Amino acid sequence: MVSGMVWFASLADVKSYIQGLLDMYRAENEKANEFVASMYRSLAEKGSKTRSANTWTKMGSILVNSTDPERGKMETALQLLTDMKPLVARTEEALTNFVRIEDISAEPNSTFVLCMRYGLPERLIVEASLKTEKFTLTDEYVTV
Amino acid sequence: MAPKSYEPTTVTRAVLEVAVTLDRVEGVRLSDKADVNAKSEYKLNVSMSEKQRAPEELTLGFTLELTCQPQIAKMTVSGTVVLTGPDEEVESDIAPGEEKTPPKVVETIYERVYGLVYVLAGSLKVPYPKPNLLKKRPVTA
Repeated sequence: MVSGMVWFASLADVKSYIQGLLDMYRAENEKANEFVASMYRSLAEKGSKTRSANTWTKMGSILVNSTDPERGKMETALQLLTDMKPLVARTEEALTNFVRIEDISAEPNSTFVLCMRYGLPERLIVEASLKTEKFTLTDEYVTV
Repeated sequence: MAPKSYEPTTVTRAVLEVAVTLDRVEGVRLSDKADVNAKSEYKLNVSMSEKQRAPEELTLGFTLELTCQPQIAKMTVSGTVVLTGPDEEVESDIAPGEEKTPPKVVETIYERVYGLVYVLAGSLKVPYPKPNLLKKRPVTA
């Protein structure tokens, strides 16, 4: 999820969600790293030493590369690496400091709403449950 | 509990979804004199209790006990009902009905299991229960 809200029933669930995010970002970062390394090796083997001129054409809001797809993919992976670094670092920070959030005295049955912004956990809303009584019903009817 | 993602299409859902899952179905013929065409009335005892509550979702356990008067048959159906939708819709579904009508959730469960109890009554060769429910009149002195 890039931006939005996610509902949880407990702080433990919130923590495990953030941990899941961190694992995902680390895995993506690792994949991008490996991809860039393999592309560098491939380009070196081909002897492509000179950086070609701009191979991107702007079409509306999107850049299109149809002349040098290999270099295009590598440039994109490098951009992805740059973008992933702060995501990993700030998610790690959120997880490290989660112990402070765990000190929040939340009422039983509270709901936790985690607000995500551009892939980062940014705010946490603690909503006390208005409903403390559990619903029960015992009744008698006739069929008609 | 699995986290629920914020998706505008889900959040704006105005329709309540009711999912009924059965755990147990039991039918007993209590008298050899039972006859499908015998004049009879069914009494329905309902018991429900909250199992789990989350934003926009309520899970209830239920037991419906249909007893034929005179006592020639008894059918029991129990299971779980999950109400998913806006909280106000969920609350309205479990709220007591008008004077003599049951809460909507009870009506819905009965509607869903009616086909089953109808077939069960036929198999047991006991009178068929009727499809609608009314609250039993309070006993007056």
